[in-house]
Amino acid sequence: MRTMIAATVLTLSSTISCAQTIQDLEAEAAKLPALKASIYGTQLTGARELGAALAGKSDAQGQPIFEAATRPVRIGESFQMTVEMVRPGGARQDVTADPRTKYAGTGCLLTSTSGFITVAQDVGPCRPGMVTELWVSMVDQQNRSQAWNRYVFKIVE
Amino acid sequence: MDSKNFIRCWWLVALLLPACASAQDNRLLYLDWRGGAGSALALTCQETWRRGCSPSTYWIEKADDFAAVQAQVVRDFIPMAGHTKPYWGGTMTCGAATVSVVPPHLVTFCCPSTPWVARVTLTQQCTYADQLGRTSGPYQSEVSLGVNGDCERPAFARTGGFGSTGECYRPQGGPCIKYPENTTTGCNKTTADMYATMPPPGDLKLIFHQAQTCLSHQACNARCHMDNCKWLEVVLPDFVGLYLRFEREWPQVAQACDTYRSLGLPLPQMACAGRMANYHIAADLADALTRHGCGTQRDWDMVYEVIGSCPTTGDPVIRQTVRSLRNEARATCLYRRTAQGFNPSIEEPYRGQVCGQ
Repeated sequence: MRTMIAATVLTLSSTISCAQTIQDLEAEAAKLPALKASIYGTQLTGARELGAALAGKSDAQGQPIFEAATRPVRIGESFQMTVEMVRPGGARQDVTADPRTKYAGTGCLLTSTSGFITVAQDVGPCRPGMVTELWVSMVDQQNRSQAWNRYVFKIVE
Repeated sequence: MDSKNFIRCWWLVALLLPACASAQDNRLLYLDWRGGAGSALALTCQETWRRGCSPSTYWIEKADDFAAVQAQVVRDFIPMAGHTKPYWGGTMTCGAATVSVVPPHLVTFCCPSTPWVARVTLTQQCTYADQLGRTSGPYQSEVSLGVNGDCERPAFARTGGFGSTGECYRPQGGPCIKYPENTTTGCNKTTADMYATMPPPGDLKLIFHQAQTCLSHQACNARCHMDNCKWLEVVLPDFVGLYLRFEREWPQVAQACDTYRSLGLPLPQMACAGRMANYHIAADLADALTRHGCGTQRDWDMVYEVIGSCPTTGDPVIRQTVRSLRNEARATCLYRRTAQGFNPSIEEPYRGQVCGQ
């Protein structure tokens, strides 16, 4: 199975070019194992699932869906993510602290290799009201992603 | 700034230019500036110590503002720290130069075609020594160049007649010149600069740059339908310019993008674009809005509507994220400007549907 996934990733990596868009990227991600993240037992809605929920909706229709999927966090708060990889057959594996699991925020978030996240004002700017994203990716030995997802957080007072 | 303060400030410019660098006379927007000496005041190289000049009349290339012409004059002419040069068989020694400025002012009664005039004067104390070592007493060497502000842009007109403000403007209902017809002024120049600096394939900045280029282009095209056209023409170059010049925290933001390579994504530029957009909206946009006004709700919504045609914002999650970040930036602007006692929507000089190119 792992060999097959790696082959799929290799094929995808070689065919995806910069002419492709985030939609292409998400479409390709859907064919790969899924990453499911949670915080202290509460499941987060990833961009893969959120994108599907927002498809075909107007901005106004999509706004409450987006906000419901956005996890509120406070500046200074820290939390431990739990990340599971769900294979196409349904098998689940906790990969939170797996060295192949990579975390990166797009602002406000400090990440550790074990999935411990801190909301930091100095990764900024970072103000209440802002939204930010956390990317989670599971890579193979060649540092190519086998699965990825991203999660939206909102900074609150 | 009221008119008395404005005049006081402009006169201070002559003595202390940097202190008033942020002052802006709305009437000077969209003028084309040239400085130099015409044939009647032909200045030779020997007379002016101008570097690399031809001994003929001197005119500076057209510039967007008076400050650029002034800077060019200073660069082109005498060494500011002083110099010693051969002169008529002897030696001329001059001390450090001082710059004095008669700032742009309107002269409607004498020069109907060029009512905006200014002057830049460079002064040095010099002595002359001949071959026998005899010296002349110190005397003042002065180079003084006139600077004209003209209204020359296509589809623009200048207010004229007695009591005129001399403003150069695009008449209401006149053509709204867009990129690529205009690549040299206002938000069209910003769009042109974005296209001209497109990163190569594989560069981590590529997707953000592509998206911001499209956003700049579309927003700038929409300005002529806005409540306050000038507002967009000022805000957009301000906040996009911070990225183009890689100022403030941009080097660190770009450096942070390298960490996204560890994600191993087929398209690592996507995560980088998220980081860059987050910073650009929360820092650059929020601050530019705070400086110039948060815009009317109608103009704000119009920008969001037109940038919807850009490919990157076609993804619903990105679109919602951008919308949320934009609205937070505007809320921050409204809070800051209200707290500072400013009109939340707009700085007065940028009000109105008539604006530049």
